[in-house]
Amino acid sequence: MLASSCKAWLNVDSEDRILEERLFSSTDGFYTALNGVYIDLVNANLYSGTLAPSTPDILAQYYDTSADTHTYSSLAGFQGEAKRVAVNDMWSRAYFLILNVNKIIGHCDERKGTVLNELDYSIIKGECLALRALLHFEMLRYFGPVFSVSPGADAIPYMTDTDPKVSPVLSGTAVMARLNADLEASMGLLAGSDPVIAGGKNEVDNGGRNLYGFRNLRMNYFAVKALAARVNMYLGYLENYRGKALQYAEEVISDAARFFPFSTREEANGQAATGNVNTAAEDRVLSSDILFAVYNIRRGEDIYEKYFYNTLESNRLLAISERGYSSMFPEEGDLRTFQWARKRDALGNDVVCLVKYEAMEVDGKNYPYMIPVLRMSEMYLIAAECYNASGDTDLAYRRLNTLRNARQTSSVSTAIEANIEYEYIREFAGEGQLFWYYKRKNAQTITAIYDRSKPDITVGTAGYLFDLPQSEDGFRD
Amino acid sequence: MLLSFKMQGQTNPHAQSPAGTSRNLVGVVKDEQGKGLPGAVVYLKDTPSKGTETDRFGNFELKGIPDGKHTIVFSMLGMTEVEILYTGQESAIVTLAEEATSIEDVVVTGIITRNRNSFTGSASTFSGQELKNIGTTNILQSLKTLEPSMTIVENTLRGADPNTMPDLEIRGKTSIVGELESDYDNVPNQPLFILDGMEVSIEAIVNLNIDRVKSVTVLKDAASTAIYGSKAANGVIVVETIPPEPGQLRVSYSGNFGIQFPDLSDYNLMNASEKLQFEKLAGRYTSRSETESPEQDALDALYYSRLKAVREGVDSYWLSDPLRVVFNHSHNLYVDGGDQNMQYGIGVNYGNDKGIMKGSDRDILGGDIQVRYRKNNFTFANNFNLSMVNADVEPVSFDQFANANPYYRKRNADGSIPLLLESTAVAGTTIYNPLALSGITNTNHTKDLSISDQLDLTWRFLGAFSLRGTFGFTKSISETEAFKSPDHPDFTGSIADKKGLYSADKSDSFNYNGRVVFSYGKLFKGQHNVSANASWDFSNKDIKRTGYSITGFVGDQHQNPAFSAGFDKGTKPVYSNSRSRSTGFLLSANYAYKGRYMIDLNYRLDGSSVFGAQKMFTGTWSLGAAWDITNEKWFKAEWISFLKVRYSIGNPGNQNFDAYMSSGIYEYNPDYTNIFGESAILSKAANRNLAWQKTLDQNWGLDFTAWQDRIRLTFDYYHKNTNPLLVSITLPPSAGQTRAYTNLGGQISQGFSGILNVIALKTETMRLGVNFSFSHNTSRYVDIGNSLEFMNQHGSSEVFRRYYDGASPDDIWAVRSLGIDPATGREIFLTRTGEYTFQYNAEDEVKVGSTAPDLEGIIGMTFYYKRFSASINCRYQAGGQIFASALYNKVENLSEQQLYYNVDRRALYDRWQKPGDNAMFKAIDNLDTTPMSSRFVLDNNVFSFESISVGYDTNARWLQKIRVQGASIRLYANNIWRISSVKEERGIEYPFANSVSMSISLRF
Repeated sequence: MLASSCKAWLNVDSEDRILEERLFSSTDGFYTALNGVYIDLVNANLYSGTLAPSTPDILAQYYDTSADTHTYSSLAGFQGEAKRVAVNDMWSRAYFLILNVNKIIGHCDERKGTVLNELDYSIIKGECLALRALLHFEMLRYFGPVFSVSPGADAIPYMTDTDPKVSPVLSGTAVMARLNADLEASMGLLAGSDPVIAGGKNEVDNGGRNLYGFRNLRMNYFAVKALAARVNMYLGYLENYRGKALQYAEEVISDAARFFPFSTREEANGQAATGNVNTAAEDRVLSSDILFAVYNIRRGEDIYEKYFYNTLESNRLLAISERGYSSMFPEEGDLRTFQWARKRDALGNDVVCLVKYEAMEVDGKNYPYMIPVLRMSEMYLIAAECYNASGDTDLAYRRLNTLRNARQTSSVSTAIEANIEYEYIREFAGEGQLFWYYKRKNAQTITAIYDRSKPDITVGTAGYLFDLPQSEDGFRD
Repeated sequence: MLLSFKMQGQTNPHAQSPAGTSRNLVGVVKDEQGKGLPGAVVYLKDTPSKGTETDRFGNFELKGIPDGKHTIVFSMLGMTEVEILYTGQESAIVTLAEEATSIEDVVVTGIITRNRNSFTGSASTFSGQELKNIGTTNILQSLKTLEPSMTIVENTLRGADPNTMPDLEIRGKTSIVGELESDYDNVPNQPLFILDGMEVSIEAIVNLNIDRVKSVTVLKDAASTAIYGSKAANGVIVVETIPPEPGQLRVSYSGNFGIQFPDLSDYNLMNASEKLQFEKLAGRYTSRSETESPEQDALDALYYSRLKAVREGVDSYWLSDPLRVVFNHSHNLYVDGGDQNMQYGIGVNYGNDKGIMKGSDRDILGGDIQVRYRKNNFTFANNFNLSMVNADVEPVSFDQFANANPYYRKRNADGSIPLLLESTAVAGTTIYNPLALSGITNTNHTKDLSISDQLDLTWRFLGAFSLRGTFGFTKSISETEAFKSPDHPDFTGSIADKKGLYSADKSDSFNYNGRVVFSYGKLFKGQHNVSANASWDFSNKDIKRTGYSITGFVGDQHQNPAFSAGFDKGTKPVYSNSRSRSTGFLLSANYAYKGRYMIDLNYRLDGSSVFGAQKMFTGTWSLGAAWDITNEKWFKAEWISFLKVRYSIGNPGNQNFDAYMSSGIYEYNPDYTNIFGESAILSKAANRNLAWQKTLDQNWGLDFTAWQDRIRLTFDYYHKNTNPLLVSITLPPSAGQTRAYTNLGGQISQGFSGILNVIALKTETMRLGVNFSFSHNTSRYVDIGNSLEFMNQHGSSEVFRRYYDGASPDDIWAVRSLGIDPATGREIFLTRTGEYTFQYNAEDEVKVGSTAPDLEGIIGMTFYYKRFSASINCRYQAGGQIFASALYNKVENLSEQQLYYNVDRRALYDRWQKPGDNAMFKAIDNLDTTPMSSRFVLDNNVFSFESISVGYDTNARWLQKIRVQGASIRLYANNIWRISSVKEERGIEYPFANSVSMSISLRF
């Protein structure tokens, strides 16, 4: 008795930390750990920066960084050192989150039936496997090869261990196999448990943990399937991968379109939220068709004020010219024009800034905090590309035009490939998808979006390749 | 020796008994209060088997005493033994005095006070006076001169800063391979401090006035530290303060007065013309492009303008500007008195410790009240302490002055002080005038208040038993306020509401602790001395830390948070609460046979709430044995008065950090939130299979005294085997965490230390003593194999520690260098196979030295003549090497940026300039980074005068007229002179100091 009362006396809690064993001794603890991963996805080295608004879009030549003194000119010029610096911290942060995810997966399997019931086990493990695939895929896109050129080249390690360990670097194709395995396992678990399948996003705040709600802020079943479509499309030059990509994309379109419809003009201009057209309530991310977004309560501060705010010193500002803007959006009614605004920079020049992530507050709405990671529109573009590749041109145009019309632009009937690329440019500004479209296509030159009158920029295959960070590579000799 | 006893043996010369028969002796054994002592042993010295014990009233009857004269021994644990001559008397009343605690005769462990003769561990004890003979700064500074196994790691950065706490080590570092994460509250190698039986912080020891100290004991080996369990892995320093003494009201005063002045002897900076010449030669004024460029014209103009200034006599010596000579004083007033039952003492002390840098101060005000009450078998003692510390930090770091070029003018022609020395356009970064910075408000003020009380209750019963309870609490509040003026260059370019910075930090802690000790001690038949102790202790520590910083001030006149613009965007207050608890159970037993053979056994179970502990309790044990050869019957060497050999073995504590490493820790995220409630992320992943680092510590010791104490030697040899070792390894980022702990191999540390005192000359009025202390430590890795090969390769040219079997953590590894080639100015290396090469190759590295000295210690002398005394103590360190990082960084590897700052003179004189130069360092205009080579590994032999003091005691007539019973005065010079084979800058941010001081003690 003395011993046990001593132990009780020695048991002291900490306010800011908790032991691993203690955390995973309740379902709530599992959700706390899982939410830790979701929240950390908004890290400046991940979706608030290097994975979405900054690095990939700078490389895709969205913004005018042509001045010699511009902070990002060397990165936009594909200089090795700048590329190395840009991705260094992202690498360690992504793998840190992967370790977190692996810990949760490990504990899921240890405590299924004791701590976790069937439902929570399936949802937690399903989401974790998808997050593991998502982060590895982001790393693969950066550090992996251009697949159509050298699919077997060394890419990245694929971490599945619950303890920090050294793991070998796998080839690009080996990583693809691991990705598909994780995604299939995730879909298998979520198919029987995810409330999104029958009930959609469920954006009702019940207070507390909102455990099975707000599925568009979680790696839900449809988001995982959309990711699988994206992953397989990354090897879209091969018919079998393309087939899978098309299958997944079509399944998402047919099963999820009713839950993730395209935004209306009323939603975009703020009328739906406040009753009248209201610049301060615009749904600029066009949140309705977002399948998965990360949620950053400091989105304005972390992204807008860091890259796109017109009062930034002009050599830090990421903006495009009026000319670039007008060739990007030839049709004024395009809903995506809500994402851009004409401004004057610190030197007094007229520029067009991406205001998609500007800080705002709208009662009862989450879109002011969302950074889109996966959205429905991409499924239409993947489907269109696949149909076109297999010669099914009619279906290809139909898919493309569904998206174009949804964004309130006219239909097209020619130049399918150029129009798909154009749609990538318009749709994913600030979301970091365009550059990877170029990489999988191995585009040797790309357009200067900020000003189409400038000559195309030569990337070459080498421009798409990133060296592993020094801290990682040092261990690999 | 203060040993004293009273004897009231009564003999009756008329009580003659008939011869040839045995007789009896009856009597009573009393204590000094006249109360009968139960359980005292009475026996015949020549036949110890003939003996008895006193009953519970102290009465005894010793029967059957053979005829003749005998010596009868009266003995009891804790009392001074008394012998009387038995000549046939019938009765005896014997008074036993409580064993007087002469500091040299006991070992104060903080829990129990042990007789030194029966102690088997390695411990050394120093009296307050001995400490005071060295210096008056603080206990630790004096202790390092007296105790060879304790070192204060020289802080080459903070020098003599009064507000930087010393970094202590006893018997070297407890090693962890690789870097350590700072998850721990304490400095990992710091020993445990015990003040009057209770664990305290190092600050409490540093703040303690040296005149209040009765004794300091350093516990070194497993046998002596085991009683403190896992906290004591780095040794224990036990401090006892002077208790009140019975008698008439006594007043004593002591004052210390000192002058401290900066020691800049290690600085060797260029003067204006040297610096300009150096810059010229280093290519500072040579354009990288073709010579006729406009850039070159600008550089020429710059050079000539500076040359003009130098010719005009500009040669600013910046080093002296922030420094000052300070007068420090401390005072201690103590009043005590009382009768046999009750004693009291009241003390007040004040100390002022100004730093040699302007603006850095520390002053301490303290007070204590002590009450002791004794009635029958109960003793009650209470100590109350209060201390207040005020500390200020200097506004500008010393290196800014050391960096300033001598060709800059300190002041403009009109006497004003310019803010800028160099603009961004010239130097690439703005160089501010440190003198102007000193004039800009940048304050950091700390106020500490600490109150503690300790209650001690002792109950002795049935003669052999005692129960002692000690309970205490400490409440400490520390508040730091810092203000940086809006005019400070840090805020140049900031918008108005971000100028200026005010920060307030407060830490509020409350500790309570207690201990109950149950002791038994008895002497059986005058031969078997048995004692045993069981104790239980607990402690609780709560700390609350709060803090915030705000910005947006308009000027210095309102340094008040109410005048700020508020929080800087995105910042928030700091707030944390933490609690730690520990408890422990100790069993210890000691047996001594006839004072010849001694055995000590200790077992302790420690429980701690260290966050992350999977295993809450850990056990430590120790075993010690000693043999006092002089007590053997056959031992006849009269000239040896004491000879004891000791051995102990034990597993000293597993450090707290072990616990952290075996458990994963998640951290809540307070910065970002979402609609899914609480979130936590891994702050540290654990290696669940990690084994705890176990150390087996063995100690062999020898105590030797000869020729009436004229030679006194204590020698200890220790052997520590740590296996497995905890190794912190680096992982690639893809592992998710770049540092992890694992178990690999082991480490064996061994060393010896000793103190030799010789009284060379001794007459009635004069004594001359020589003291010599020495220590040597070595360590080596075992069973590592090639598992850490990747760390060896990783660190090649940047760090010099390597991990191989047999390699030592103290070894310095580097490629051998033959120096600078006089023809080319390039460094010539020696390959592993002994060939000459210009090419640096990390593969060629070998062991080129060791940071562990062959021998280090103190050599000193003390001299007494009548009432006059003098002592001198010098530190020596011989046979070690050092990697001269200041030479490496500040002479050899000067970067382009460093050319804008003043540098060591050797960069001009000892660098290669032209073919034929026999230079120490590479070409003067070479800005490439040189890899580490043996060229920078230098022998590090040091000899310094650590303490010189002269004292005089008097009770002269004229003093008594002014009611002074006795007085003593002492003069000191500390760290007055130092020679070292390596000349390097020390005290980068805060210089070192020398001091001369005086202390006066008066007894009224």
